[in-house]
Amino acid sequence: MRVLVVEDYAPIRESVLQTLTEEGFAVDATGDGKEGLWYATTNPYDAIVLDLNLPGLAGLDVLKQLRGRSGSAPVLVLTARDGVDDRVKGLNAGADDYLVKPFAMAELVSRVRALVRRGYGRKNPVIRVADLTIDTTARKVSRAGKDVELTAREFALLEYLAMRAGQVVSRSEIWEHVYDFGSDAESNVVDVYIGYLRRKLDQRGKPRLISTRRGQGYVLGGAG
Amino acid sequence: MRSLSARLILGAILGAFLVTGLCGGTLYGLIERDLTGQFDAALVARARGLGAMVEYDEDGYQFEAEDAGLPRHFLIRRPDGRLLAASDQMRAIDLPDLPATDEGVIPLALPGGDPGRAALLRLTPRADRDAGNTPAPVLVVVAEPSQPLRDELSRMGWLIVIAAAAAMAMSVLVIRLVVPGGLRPLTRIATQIGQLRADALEPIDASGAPRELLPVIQQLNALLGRMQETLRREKEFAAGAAHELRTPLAGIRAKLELALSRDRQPDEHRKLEQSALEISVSMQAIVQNLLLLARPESPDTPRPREQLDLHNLLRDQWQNFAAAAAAKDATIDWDLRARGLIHADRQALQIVLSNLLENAAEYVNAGGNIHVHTANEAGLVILRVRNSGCRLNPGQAGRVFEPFWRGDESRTERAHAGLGLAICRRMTTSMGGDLEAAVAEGWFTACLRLPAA
Repeated sequence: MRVLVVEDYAPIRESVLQTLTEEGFAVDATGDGKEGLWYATTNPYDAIVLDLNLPGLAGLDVLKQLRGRSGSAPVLVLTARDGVDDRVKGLNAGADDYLVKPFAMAELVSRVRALVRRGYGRKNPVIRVADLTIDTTARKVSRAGKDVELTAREFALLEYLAMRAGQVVSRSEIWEHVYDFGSDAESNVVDVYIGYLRRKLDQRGKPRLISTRRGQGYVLGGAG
Repeated sequence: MRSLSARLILGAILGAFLVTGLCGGTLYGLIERDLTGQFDAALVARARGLGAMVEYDEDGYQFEAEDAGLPRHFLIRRPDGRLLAASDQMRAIDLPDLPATDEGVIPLALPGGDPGRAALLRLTPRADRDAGNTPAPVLVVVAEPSQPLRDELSRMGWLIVIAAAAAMAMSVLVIRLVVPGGLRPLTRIATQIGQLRADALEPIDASGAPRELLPVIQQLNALLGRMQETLRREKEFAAGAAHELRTPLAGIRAKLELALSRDRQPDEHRKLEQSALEISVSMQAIVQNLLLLARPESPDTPRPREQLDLHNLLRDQWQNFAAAAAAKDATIDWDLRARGLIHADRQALQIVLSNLLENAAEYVNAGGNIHVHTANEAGLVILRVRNSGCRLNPGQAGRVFEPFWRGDESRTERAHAGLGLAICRRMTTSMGGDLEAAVAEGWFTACLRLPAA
């Protein structure tokens, strides 16, 4: 799941970037409002963490411009102002959630996860596909009751497929939601990781969970 | 006595008692004089009647009367003092030895001990035609027991005392009702003041208040207005301060939570903790600035002043910002034509100059200009620091001195809490000068005026 962090205060930006990365997100971060808006409009983020007090372009303006376009990602607003008016202003401008500085990092992570789920119309952090269970919070996967050990990257890829279970997902979509600008992955890396995932998930005698649609991409579970 | 009401009530009651007492006493005195006068007049009239019955003929003084019409107590003496006639009761009495000329009414103890009053008259009797000489006046004394008079007076006295007591009781009642009623506007205002909430100092409602209280209410409302303004500023300041401290605090928290969120290598820990430390140092600077700003200006402890050369200080301070300006290709023009000696607090002046130059270096546009100009004027040294590239509009010039105000929210570095110019103005004022800002055609001008040495 890919997240954009727009925060000009370096200590917070760096910490949020590192925490979200360690929590398994693909994260892009910038300290400039204009750059943030450009990132947000050119990449399909699953959530955006937006500071309201930004150089270049104020956070509220970024938010308004984002909301002027359709289909943009859910936004978690960060602010040092905790007045009711400020919160109302932020939410009215289109924020999906609101966090006042200083905040607990664990809370930020939970809220980002909730926003990502909401973006895919899911309320339950545990996703079940056939006999496969994916706990997006605990970052654990099991098939037919047996735990499956996945690397962070494998889990990220499976998580995205699970969010869109039953839908055909293209390679470029997978790429865009699992890798950030910082990753220097080869273009065939998606196919390679799909291969790893299949090897770990599909045991002998069980039906394949990830199927390939030639020229289109992959589907987790039965295609709807 | 603390209570205005009690004092008024007591005063009014004492006054009422005094007046009632005086009136009662006077009335009693008048009645006594009147009744005694009537009593005495009757005595005198009877004495005259008796006197008319005395005749003077060749045999001397004669008194002829029928016993029936005579008063019970009377006596008549010849001019030589010998008794001419007397009632039985009076015959024995030993009248005081009065001077021959004395007339009038005197108190007299009657035979038998009863108190009485006696009219003493000297009357010249009618002279018979045959009488040889002219008669001399005879003394006629008529007495009456005065007990009825005393009884009447005593009755009157009691009536007056009862009436006065009733009047006093009534006045106490009325005063106790009227005084608190008259003081009710005070109580009402006290209640209003009591109901004021510290966070909403509404003015006291003066409508319906008596004229005497209006000045008090007006002054109170003026005070409330000033307090409300101070409170509002304090609140804003506290909110601004909290806002300024939240962001770096969030930074420290984020760094430390990240450090503790999982097992990390020692060098990772060091890096995170180092950056948390750096943030806390920057917070210290913000707190210091906040304290500078929040410190009340105390006239009792004037800051030490010394003679300083403004130009030297300017050049010293500019060294800190020359590099930043040079990095933007901004040029600085010095026009230091004043006699730059001033009498000021070195530390405060350094802070002011440093802020002004730093602002100029920070907000000047790339390739722009900074002018530093000094002049003398009427006992003042005037310093103008101008920079091009100002994006404020002229109306915003005055706001740059408001704490936490940032002209361009989206441009200013986080390092600035928007306190610099507010602090500058405060320090300038404490040095007996003033600091103003102006914006015109893309130029920002800070104008500092200080008393020349």
